[in-house]
Amino acid sequence: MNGTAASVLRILVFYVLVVALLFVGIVMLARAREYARRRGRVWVALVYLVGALYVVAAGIFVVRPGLAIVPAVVALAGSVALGLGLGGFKRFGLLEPELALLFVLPAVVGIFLFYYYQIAQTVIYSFHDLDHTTKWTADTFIGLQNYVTVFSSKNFLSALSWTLIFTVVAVFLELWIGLGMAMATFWVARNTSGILRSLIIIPWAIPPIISAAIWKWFYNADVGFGRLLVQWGLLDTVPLFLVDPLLARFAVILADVWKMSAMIAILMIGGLAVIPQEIYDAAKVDGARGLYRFRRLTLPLLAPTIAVAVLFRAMDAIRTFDLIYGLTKGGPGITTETLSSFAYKYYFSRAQFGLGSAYGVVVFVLVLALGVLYVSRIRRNLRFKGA
Amino acid sequence: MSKHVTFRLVLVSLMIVLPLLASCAAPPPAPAEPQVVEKVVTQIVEKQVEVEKPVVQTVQVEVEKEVEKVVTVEVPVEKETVTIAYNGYFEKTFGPAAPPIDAIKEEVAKKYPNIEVQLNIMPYEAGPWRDNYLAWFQAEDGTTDLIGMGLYWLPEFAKTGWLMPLNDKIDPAILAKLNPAYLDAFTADGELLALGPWWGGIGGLYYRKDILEAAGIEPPETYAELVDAAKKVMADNPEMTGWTWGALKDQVLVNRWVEYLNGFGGAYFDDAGKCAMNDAKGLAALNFMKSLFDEGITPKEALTWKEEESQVRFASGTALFHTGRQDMMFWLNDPKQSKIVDMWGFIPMPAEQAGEGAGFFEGWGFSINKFSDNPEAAAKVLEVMFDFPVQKAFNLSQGPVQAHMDVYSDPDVIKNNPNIPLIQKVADTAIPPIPSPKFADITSILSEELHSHLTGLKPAQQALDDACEQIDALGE
Repeated sequence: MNGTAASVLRILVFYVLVVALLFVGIVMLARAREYARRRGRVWVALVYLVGALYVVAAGIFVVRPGLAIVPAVVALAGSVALGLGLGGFKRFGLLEPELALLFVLPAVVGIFLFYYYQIAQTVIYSFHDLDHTTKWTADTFIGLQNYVTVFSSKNFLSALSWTLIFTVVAVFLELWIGLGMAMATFWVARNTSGILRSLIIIPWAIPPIISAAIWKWFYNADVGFGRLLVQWGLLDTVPLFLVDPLLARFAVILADVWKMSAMIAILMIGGLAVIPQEIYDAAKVDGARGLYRFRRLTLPLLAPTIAVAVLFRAMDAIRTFDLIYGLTKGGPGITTETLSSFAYKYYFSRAQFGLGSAYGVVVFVLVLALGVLYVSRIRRNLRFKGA
Repeated sequence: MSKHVTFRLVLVSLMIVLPLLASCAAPPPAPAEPQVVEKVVTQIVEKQVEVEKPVVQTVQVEVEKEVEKVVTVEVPVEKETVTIAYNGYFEKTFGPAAPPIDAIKEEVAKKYPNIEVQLNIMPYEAGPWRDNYLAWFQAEDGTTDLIGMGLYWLPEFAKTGWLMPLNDKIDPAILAKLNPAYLDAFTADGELLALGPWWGGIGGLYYRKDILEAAGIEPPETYAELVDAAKKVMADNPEMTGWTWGALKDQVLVNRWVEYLNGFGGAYFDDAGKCAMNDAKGLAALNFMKSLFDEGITPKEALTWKEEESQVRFASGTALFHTGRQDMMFWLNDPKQSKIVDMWGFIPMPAEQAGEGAGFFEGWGFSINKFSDNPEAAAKVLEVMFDFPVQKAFNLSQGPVQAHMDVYSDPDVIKNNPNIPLIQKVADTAIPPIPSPKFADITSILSEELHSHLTGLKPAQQALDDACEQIDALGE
C-alpha cells in the first residue's frame, strides 16, 4: 500500500471512529436524559452539563484541535456513564430516532469538518494580521482592523457595486431566458423535447474556467465575433470586448447568462411539469389567449419556483469568481473585479490571509443573508404545495 | 451506583477507548525476517589418479560435502520517491533531447537505482502555480520535495523560511561548475536557496529582418527609432502591426513595465526604500507605453494578450516588432508554426537612450521544500539535475539558459543552438525581477494600476501614485 492510500485509509478510519463514538455518546446521553427525568432535577442538570461539554469540545476543536480531545473524552465517558448508570442495559436495540441519527450523523460530522470548521477558522483569521502564515496567536490579533481596511478601500466599494450590478442584471436575464427555454421544451413535440433539454444542459455542464476560455476566443479581436461583424460589413472596426470597460462588463454578463440560463431552465422545467394541464385546457375553453394564460396562469403558478431559482442563482452570482477570473482577470483595471476575486487576490496572490479572510467573511455574510431568505422561501413553498 | 453498573461502565469504556488507542498507533515496519536455508553445497575438486600406464591423468570427481546451514538475511533496498513540482514544459521537448523529466529519470536511475522520480504538474501560469506552493507550505506538506522556483519568488520564500538552504547539501564539485552569478541570484542572506536556472528566459526585441532591410531601416536601438520604423512600414502596409507585446492585466504586463521603466532610466525604489516608480522617469515610461496604443503601433487588443497571443501575431508574419523571450526562436524557425522562418532578428530591447535597453530575466531553478519527506534523496536528485549530462539535455530540449558553464562549449549544444551569439548579446542586458519579498503583492498592484491607465480608466500620474501608495503601505 503506498503512502497516499495509507493516508486515505487512516483518514477514513478516523472518520468512522469519530462518527461511531459520537453516535454512542449522543444515544447514551439521550437515553440518560430520558431516565434522568424520572430521577430528579440534579440528574437532568448533569445530563445537560455533559451535553454542554460536547459544545465546548467543538468550540475548542475550532481554536486548538489538539486540546479538544480532553473535553470530548470526558463528554463521551460522561454520556456512557450516565446512560448505563441511570438505565443500565435495559435496551440494546435502537429506536427509530436513534436509527435516523445513525444515518444522518456521518453527513453532519462531514459538514462540520469540511464546512463549518473552515468558516469558523476564516472568521478567526479575519481578526488577525496574518501575512504568509495561518498560525494566529494573541500577538497577531488586531480586532476589526481588517474589516476597517476592507470597508475603507475604494477598490472594495467598486467591487461591491459591480458584484451587485452583475448579480441583478445577470440573474434577471437568466431568469427570462431560462424560463423561455424551459417553456420551449414543452412546446416542441414530445420526441424532440428530450434532445432540446439535453442541449440546454450543455452550457451548464461545461466547467466555468473552460467556458471562460471559450468566451475569450469568442471575444478575440483577430478570430472572434467582432472580426465577423467587420467582415459582414456591420462594423468598421473590431470591438474590443475585453478592453473597453463597459463592453468588458457586458461581455462578462453575457458569458454568465449563456452558461447559467441553463440552470434556471432546469429548475423551471421542474416547476412547469407540475402545473396541471387541465388548468390550461379550462382557460383555453374560456377563451384565454397565450399571453394571457402566461401572465395569469403560468407565472403565478410558477412563482414559488421562480423565487427559489432567483435566490439560488443570486447566491451563486454573488460568489462568482472563476468565469470572470478566466475571462478578464478582473480587468480592465479593476472594472470586473468581484468580491470573491478580491478575497482570492488577498488570500492567495498576496498571502495576506487575515485580510483575505475578512473579504471572504463579507461575501459569506451577503450570501448568508440571501440564504436565509432562500430557506424562508422554501418553507413557504412547501406550505404552498401543502407538504 | 452499584458495583454491577460500575463494572459494566468500565467494560464499555474500555471497549470504546481501546480501539481508539489502537487506531492512533501506526504499525511499526516489519523487520526483515532472517531466512534459514538448508543448502547442499557441491564442490568440484581436481584429483590426481594414478592409472596403470605411467601417465598421470587429471579427472574431475564430485565430492558431496556435508550439509551446511546457510543463513541469509534479505535486506530490502528502501525505495524512495522524489517528487518534483513543475509545469507541463517538463514533459515537452523542442529539440533533439528527451523531455526534461525523462532526462532526469534516466540519469537518476543510473546513479541512484533506489530513487524514483515523479512529476507533480503545475499550472503554466505563474500565479496559480505559486498559489499551490502557498497552500502546501501552510499545511507544512512534504509530499513534493523539489519545487520549481521562479527567481522572482525567491525573496518572498526566503523571508518565510520555506526553502531548505543548500549550502551544505550539494556537492561542492557540482557547485563549482555552476555560474557563480546565477548562484548569487538564487542566494538570500548568504543562504543558497535554489540551484538555477535549469532554464531562463530573457526579454529581447524580435524584428522582421526582411522588411527592415527592404525599407533600408537599421534595427532600432532607441524607442524613437522603433516608432519611426513602425510608422514608416505601417504607412506602406496598413495591415501590418507595429509592435506586439503582451499587456494583459497579469504578470506579463509587469515584466514589460520593468523593461520600459529601465529603458527610461527609472528605478523601483529610492535610497530610502520607498517606491520610486511614480517619478518623472516612471511617468515617461508609462506615457510611452500608452502612446504605443494611442498611435496604433501596438494594437489595443494586446491589453488582453499574454505572451502567447503576442507571439502568434508575430509568427503569423503580420507584425514588425515583438517583445519576447529567446526561447521563441525554436518556434519562429519551425515552418509548421511560423511564416517567418529565417526572416527575423533578435536584438536587445531599445531604450530612450541608445545602448541602455534592458530585458526582463526570468530564471527558473529548483529548491528543496523545507518540509520535504525525503530531503536527502531530493538533494541527490538536485545534484543530478545540475550535473552536466542533464544540464546538456535541458539545453537540447528547451534551449538556453542553463547554470552549468560547460554546457555552452559542448559541440552538440553549439550545433543545436546556432543563435547563441544573438542570445548572448541580449543576455548582457538582462535585468532581474523587482527584488522584494512582496513581489507577488507588488506585481498584483502594478498590473492593476498600469492596466487601469492603459485602458483609459486613470491618468498616468494617478495610476503610478496609487501604485506607489499601496506598495509603500506593504512595508517590508
